[in-house]
Amino acid sequence: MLILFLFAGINLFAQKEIKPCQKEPIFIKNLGYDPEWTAFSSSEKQMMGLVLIELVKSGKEKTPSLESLRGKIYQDSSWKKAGYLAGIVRDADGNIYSIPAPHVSVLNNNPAKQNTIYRVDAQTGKMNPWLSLPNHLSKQNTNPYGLIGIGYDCTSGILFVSTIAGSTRFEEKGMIYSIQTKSKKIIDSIKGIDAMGITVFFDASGTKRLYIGKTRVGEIWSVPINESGKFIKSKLLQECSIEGLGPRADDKARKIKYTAGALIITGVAFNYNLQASSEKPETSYIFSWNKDLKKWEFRNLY
Amino acid sequence: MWNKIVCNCFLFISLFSTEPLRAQEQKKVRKNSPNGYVSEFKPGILGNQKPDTASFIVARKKEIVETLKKEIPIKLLEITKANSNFELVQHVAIADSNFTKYVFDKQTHQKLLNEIFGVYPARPGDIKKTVGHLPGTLYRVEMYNYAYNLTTVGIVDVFTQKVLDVNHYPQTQPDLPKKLIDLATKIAVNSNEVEKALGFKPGMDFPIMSSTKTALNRTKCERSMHLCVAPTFVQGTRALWAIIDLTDCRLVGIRWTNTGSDSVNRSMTERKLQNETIADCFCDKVNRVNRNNWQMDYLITSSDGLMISNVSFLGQRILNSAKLVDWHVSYSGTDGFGYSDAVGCPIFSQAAVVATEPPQFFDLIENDSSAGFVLEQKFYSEMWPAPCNYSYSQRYFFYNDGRFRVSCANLGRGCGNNGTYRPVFRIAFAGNHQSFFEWKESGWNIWNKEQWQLQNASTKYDASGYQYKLETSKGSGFYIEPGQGQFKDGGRGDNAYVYVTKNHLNLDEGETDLVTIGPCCNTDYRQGPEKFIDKVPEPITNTDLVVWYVPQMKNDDTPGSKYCWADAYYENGIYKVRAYPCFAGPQFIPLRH
Repeated sequence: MLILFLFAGINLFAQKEIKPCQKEPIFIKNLGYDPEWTAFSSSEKQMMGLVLIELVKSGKEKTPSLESLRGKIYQDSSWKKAGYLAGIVRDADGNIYSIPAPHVSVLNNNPAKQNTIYRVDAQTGKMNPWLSLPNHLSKQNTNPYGLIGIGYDCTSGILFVSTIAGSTRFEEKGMIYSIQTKSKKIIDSIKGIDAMGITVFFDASGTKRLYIGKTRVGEIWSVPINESGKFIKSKLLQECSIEGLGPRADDKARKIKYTAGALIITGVAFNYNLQASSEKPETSYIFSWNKDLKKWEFRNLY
Repeated sequence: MWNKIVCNCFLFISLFSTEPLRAQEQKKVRKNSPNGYVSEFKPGILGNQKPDTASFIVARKKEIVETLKKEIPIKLLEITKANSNFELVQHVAIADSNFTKYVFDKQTHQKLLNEIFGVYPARPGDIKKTVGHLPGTLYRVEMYNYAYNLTTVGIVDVFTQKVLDVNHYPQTQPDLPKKLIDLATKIAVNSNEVEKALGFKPGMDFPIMSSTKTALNRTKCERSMHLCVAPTFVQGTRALWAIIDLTDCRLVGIRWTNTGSDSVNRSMTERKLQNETIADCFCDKVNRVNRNNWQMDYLITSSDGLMISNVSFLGQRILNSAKLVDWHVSYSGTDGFGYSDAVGCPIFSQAAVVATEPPQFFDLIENDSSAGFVLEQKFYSEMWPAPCNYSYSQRYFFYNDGRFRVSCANLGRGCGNNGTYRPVFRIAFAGNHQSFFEWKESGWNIWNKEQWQLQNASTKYDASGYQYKLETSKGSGFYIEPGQGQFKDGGRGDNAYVYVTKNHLNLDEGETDLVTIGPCCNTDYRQGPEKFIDKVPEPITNTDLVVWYVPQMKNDDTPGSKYCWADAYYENGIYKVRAYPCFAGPQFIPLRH
């Protein structure tokens, strides 16, 4: 509501978001849960890996929400095998893709194994390594991260992931991959960009683009994607920046979302270390598209 | 791109006293430190900080005291040639209960420091369409709350003498009044660090961007959550940023940047300045100290804390290295809940709790005379001392008589009052013919094979309180004196696990940076070093050894006996931090002492 209010009359819907297509995995029902009243999480404080949280039907709400009461928590034994996880996405068949990311320590997340994408099969509910990407660890062994960004394009079935494995203080060695989920084939990659938040939507001219939140500066870039999922790298451009904004002024884009005419960047501090304050502050930065100037304008934050 | 800094110029202004560190208990119990962020209160740790006697600082502190004496603790804005409404607007604002909602602590009702930063004609965007008013009668009043780092904006109608609207913005700072801009500039131009970096003492008109403040103007004290500005001195193609903390009235640090177009959009903040400088000067660079007949290298590691290496005394090599591998924190209330924290560099590291200030050296005083020196490094979580955030300290003591001590402390606050901290030290002595002994009633007994042992109530010590002895060659080496609360640093005893393992020089068994070697929550000997004891323990006589030392400290939040804890406390209108460290670690005494 707030967002709609803010941007009313500013040029709503200049860009076009991609509507979700994800199905609920069949195994949820087989476990005896109502798929609609469950949620997956990889950020439970005292549970490593993926968990399925049952949401309690209070009778007051027709559909579950972030405020819904939590019931049972289910975890298959295979869901811990990757250690702590970062993002989770689902495909149109209900398969779940996730990437590992160390939490506080590398005890359960060996840096050498941080470039593997894991998949939970929609039918069996078992998690297994799905695709291991090249992992060129630095000899300095200082950056504990590999994959840190994941996104799924419902219009093409392509999975996008970003990794910063091997990046050092003075060498940006990050990679962004597009991977066809059906064939498990790497379609394309971009070298030399460390990125965390990634998402896909159509720009104002109707071109599908991958939006990329850089991890060294608070900049959001984008690159067009052609029909076969290849990046048009010559047209990589900076969209906007959260550098200098917000309570910390040095946030990096952890999440990027385009919805209801607003570009919402969720920013956090990120310094290539394992600092994890229990209440790690996040700030959402809202941008709107100025169609006359053809650029994003910062509107608000919360 | 940021310009690499020159590390031999002083970088940060420490929050700690540079007074001698006293190993003997002081008669005078130290009162609350005047410093924010960290302050230790235990007797015998740090002396009182020398107050800043610069006239502009004294004047500012006087203003603060006067403000806090007022019934409503708000310093009003004073400007020359103000129009007739200027004072009226402020008085109307501060009489409004919504405008003054945060000027007192809600629980204690203590006065918080507030200051009106600006009074401006209201802008069209400030006025709600539904609000009726006469033209030119609305004013915007901006007030800053130093305790909460909060901005309050009120819209005042001078005709009706009412406040029409109030908004409070947490973690936000208004534009600075000229008086504070001038104060920041004075602190910068009068600092030795700026003068040293520039090569001359700059004048008041030299800095540009003095009014640069946080958010939009790329300066932020995001760690301390204080009001900061950055007077900037341009010299050729470089700019020297001096970040000034106007809450504590001090220089946070300085840093050179390029002034090229690529640097325009990059913000220089407290965190960036600290991170980049620590990385440049202490993580990417090995430093060497030569002091009191001790020589050594020191380095902040990626995840093993502050490591000292190649340590020698009177020209004789003593240690290959000593470092702090892990901190294991477990909470007894919840099975398996806790963290394995690594401490180390602030960026591109595997550290969960990071160095934000450089290592510091202190004189070590015993019986009112210099007895050696101390090397200290502290580590912080970003939001310490908020719950579930941590701070740690490492201290190496080097005595003129050849003794040394390896110690560390947690400084709170963690996730609960039922936590136990288990730091893991790795200490590798020099020499290829080492043997390890334990004191028993029968005397010194050699350990023939790799093993571990727990210091507990039945542990035997010799008459001097020594539990172990490590011989590095015939007749040379060190007694090992574990903590039993005798070191006058507040420590209550180590209750330590000691492991002795063979040091295979042809293998890397922890000489380089070690990843986390143990889980958070094992409450027994399984803290990680046992992994270096073979299934069939190896002989450890007359060979290269590694001593692993894992003390155990239980935290306590009981008033009067707080330990491994930290609290915020009120002082002069703002909140500061008081830490209750729990130091532990053994002392090493030369056999030929």
